[in-house]
Amino acid sequence: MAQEKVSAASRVTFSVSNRTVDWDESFDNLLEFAEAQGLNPPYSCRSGICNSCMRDIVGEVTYVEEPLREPGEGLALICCSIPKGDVAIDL
Amino acid sequence: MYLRNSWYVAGWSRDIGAALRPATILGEKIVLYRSGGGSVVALEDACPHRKLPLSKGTLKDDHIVCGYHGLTFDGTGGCVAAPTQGRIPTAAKVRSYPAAERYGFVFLWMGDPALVDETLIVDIPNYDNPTWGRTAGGDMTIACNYLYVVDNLLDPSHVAWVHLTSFAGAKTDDTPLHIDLAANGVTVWRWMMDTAPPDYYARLVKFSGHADRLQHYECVLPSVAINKSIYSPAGTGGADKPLNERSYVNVSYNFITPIDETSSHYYWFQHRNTDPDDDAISQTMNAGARMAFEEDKDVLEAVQVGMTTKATPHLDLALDAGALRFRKLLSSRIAAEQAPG
Repeated sequence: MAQEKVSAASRVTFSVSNRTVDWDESFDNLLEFAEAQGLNPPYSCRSGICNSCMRDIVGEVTYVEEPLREPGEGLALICCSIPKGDVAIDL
Repeated sequence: MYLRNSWYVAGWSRDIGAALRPATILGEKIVLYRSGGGSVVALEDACPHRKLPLSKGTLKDDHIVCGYHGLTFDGTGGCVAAPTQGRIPTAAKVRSYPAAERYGFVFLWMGDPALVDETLIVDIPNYDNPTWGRTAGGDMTIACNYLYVVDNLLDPSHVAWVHLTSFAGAKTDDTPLHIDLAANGVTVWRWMMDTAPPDYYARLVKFSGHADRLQHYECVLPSVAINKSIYSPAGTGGADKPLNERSYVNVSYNFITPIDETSSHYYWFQHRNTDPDDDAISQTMNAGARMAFEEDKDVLEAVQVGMTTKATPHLDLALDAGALRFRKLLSSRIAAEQAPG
């Protein structure tokens, strides 16, 4: 199924490590993308149910898997989301 | 917290006769008996006078006579005699619960009697199909919250560690799970292709060699778990293929009735598409199921203690996704039921 490439031009800023990287669409989610940058965010289920990977975020994400509990404003589950435009994550 | 406008198994039909039988369901004390006409009566197990359990009284001509002062109630909970009083007090009424019998069970409707709906009892396809066989089933109490039992029955992964002698088998430890969400339940499933059936099933399938194996773990509201296993000759199974004529299908029906928040009554039977009249197979399968469920009971009772007394946070894993989505569905339905208006 062809998926709309909503995040083609996104840039991801890891605000704690003070780095900005172009989002790479070959990644399934922001958690894997962060790990590929050498970061080690906490996680457990990697499927949107446990909230272990919840981070503060500036900007919007698209969920590729529906979180069990909707994260609040300014928060995102990075294990099951991709950026929708530019985002900054506290990593 | 319980969903009340729902049916729960209160016992096996074969166990409910012309004798007073107490049961606790959703924390409520209930007394059951079978009337002379054959219908099941379920009343609050408390005389409205001093709340002596009516199950401590006697059954006389289809009426319960309280063992304290003889207040006598009919099958609807209406008071028909108050020997110590000149007239029957107008408030002398006992709550009655709608009952229905199906699949060898007595089901009780635990919610508003005005909303009773027998079509909400889970449908069991092929129950009356003469080419299918079924076990006599069994039951046990487990000292844990009923949702831990549901979690277990939505978790195909645990078999590789808990049920080493029965349901475990090649690829049960690492094949990814799929989750389907429905309006009234959740299904966790996976096909494991080209594997040797575990011993428990190898004796039952009607072909030799490797199998494509389905684990279909479904739970529907309020707490009915349908665990379907399919073994098809290797190369013929898969979600996109019709059932092969040599496929072996076994469905384990599991009804979990909360006794209260920390104990559950677990009822089950198994249903298969082969050997309808083979009692030896039925008995072997029934014994196998009980052995496996004793293994679950051992784990779940310790989980109840562990989760109640935990000193550090617990963790959710990807394998919990189906169970947690079912819990979320159930919570939302309970909240809707309890919402005012």
